[in-house]
Amino acid sequence: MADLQDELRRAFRRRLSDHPASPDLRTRVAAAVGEAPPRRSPGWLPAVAVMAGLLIVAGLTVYLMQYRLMTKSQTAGPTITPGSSPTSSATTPAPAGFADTFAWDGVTKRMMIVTAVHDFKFFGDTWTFSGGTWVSGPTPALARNLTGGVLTYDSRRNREVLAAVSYGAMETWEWDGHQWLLRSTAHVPDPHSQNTSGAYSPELRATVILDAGTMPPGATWLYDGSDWRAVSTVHQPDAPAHLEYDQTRHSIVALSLKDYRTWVFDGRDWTALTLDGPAPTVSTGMGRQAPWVGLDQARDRWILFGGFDGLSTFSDTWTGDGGSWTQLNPETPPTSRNSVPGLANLAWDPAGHRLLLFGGQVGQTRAFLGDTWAWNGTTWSKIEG
Amino acid sequence: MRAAPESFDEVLGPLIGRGYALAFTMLNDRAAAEDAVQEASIKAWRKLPGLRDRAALMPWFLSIVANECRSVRRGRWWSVLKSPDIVSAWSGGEPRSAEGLDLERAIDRLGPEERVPLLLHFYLDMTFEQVGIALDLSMTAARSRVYRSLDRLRVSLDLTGTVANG
Repeated sequence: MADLQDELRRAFRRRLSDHPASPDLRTRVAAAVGEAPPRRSPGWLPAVAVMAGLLIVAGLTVYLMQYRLMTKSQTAGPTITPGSSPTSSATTPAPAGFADTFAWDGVTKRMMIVTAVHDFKFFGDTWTFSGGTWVSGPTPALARNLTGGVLTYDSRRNREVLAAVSYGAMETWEWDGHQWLLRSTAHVPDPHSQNTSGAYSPELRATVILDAGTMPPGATWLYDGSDWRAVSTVHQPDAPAHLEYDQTRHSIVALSLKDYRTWVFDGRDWTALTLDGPAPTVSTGMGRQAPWVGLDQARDRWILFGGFDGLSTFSDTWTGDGGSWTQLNPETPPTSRNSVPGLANLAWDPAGHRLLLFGGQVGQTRAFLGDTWAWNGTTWSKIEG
Repeated sequence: MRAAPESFDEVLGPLIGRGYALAFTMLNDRAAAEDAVQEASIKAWRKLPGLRDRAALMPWFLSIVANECRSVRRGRWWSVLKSPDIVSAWSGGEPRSAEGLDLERAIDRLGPEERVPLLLHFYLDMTFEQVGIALDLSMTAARSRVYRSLDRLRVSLDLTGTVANG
């Protein structure tokens, strides 16, 4: 089947065209609520209905053609088959503008992206960024049907750890600079959503992951290189949260994407810091969804950029120290965009002492961007794409 | 923010077709789907002044339709309905390929709560946020629901080895 998404669309269209609603349903419903539209002549009503139907079909066809063209142009990149290797050393931008995981690869001293399944297309490839260009591979595809994950650098063991979500099942992969290895562990974290976030803590000697905001609240999981351990905490953020390791506090910290409070994990429980003043919340639409969040390690400040309220995408930049937030006005911010919910965020580049932002999505069009931006603590600059 | 709605036809009228698509997908019965849309429309029209976020009108309306359909399915009439009374959703209509038939049967094998996320996201082109509002789920849960349904569909179709070619 060439394109399951299109086949699905066609199947539903056939289903509904085989069993259409009555032509006068809208009129009947309007009458039922007591406010019928202007009465139309029964003689020409069917003709109007037919013309309206044709216009809708034509409009839908044009829209779908435009959408496909737009998607194709945004997703230009190597075609990758599950289990096969992507083209080695290609210097095209990472495909499709999404980074399901985006983190520093301390093993090879480069920024690394691992991609997953999007819109029925399996990517599951890795990309690294160094010297201003994205390079694909040369690692083989990772977990089949990877839908998300958390990428961290275990500095104690010099291993990149990928806690992968694969349609509900958790898999643990490690990159040693030569190959990715699927690790078998005695314990496996419960199925996590794509909102799972994590970071490595040298103090805890573990990669810490949390899927905050679930009902009921789940455990915080720690991976020490040999096994996973669940820590049931009394408190935790009540909404999806972004985790980082805070070099100043020497702790794992989490930023709630609901109220923008900072939480600190001491290995046993989460504690919320008091927040004063305004937060980067928005009151329009569904509120700020899927902003970009990262921790500027050089200045020990959260950086929050953009997001989507269901209607508009944003391009505002905020900085927070855990106790308060301040909106910044950089001269050349990236174009408005949102992160893919629960997926990529800003990632700290210790080699460049900067936060990197890759790609993103534009609100309701769902078009992916493929550019790369850097935040140096004062300004944004486009460095690729 | 727009002013108060002026007429049903202007505000909710354009959504009746989508409401019917959702209702038919959940109920597989044209008359029941139309009744559900009508009942949902009456409820939505009464609740409309309380809707603060007009940008969420469409998924909000569809959430009312979905709840109405669930009420129908829970009702006594529905529980005693004999299966032949419910037509196959894929009967009649335009000819289709064997591949298309396989997909339609696979969709039919899904439960209503699994079919609906696929309809909303892939046919009605709703975002995960909108699917979440329509199904009373968080955005994350909506996304998971869509992909879980898709996974079920792919298992049914035995597409595991060929999805990458999409």
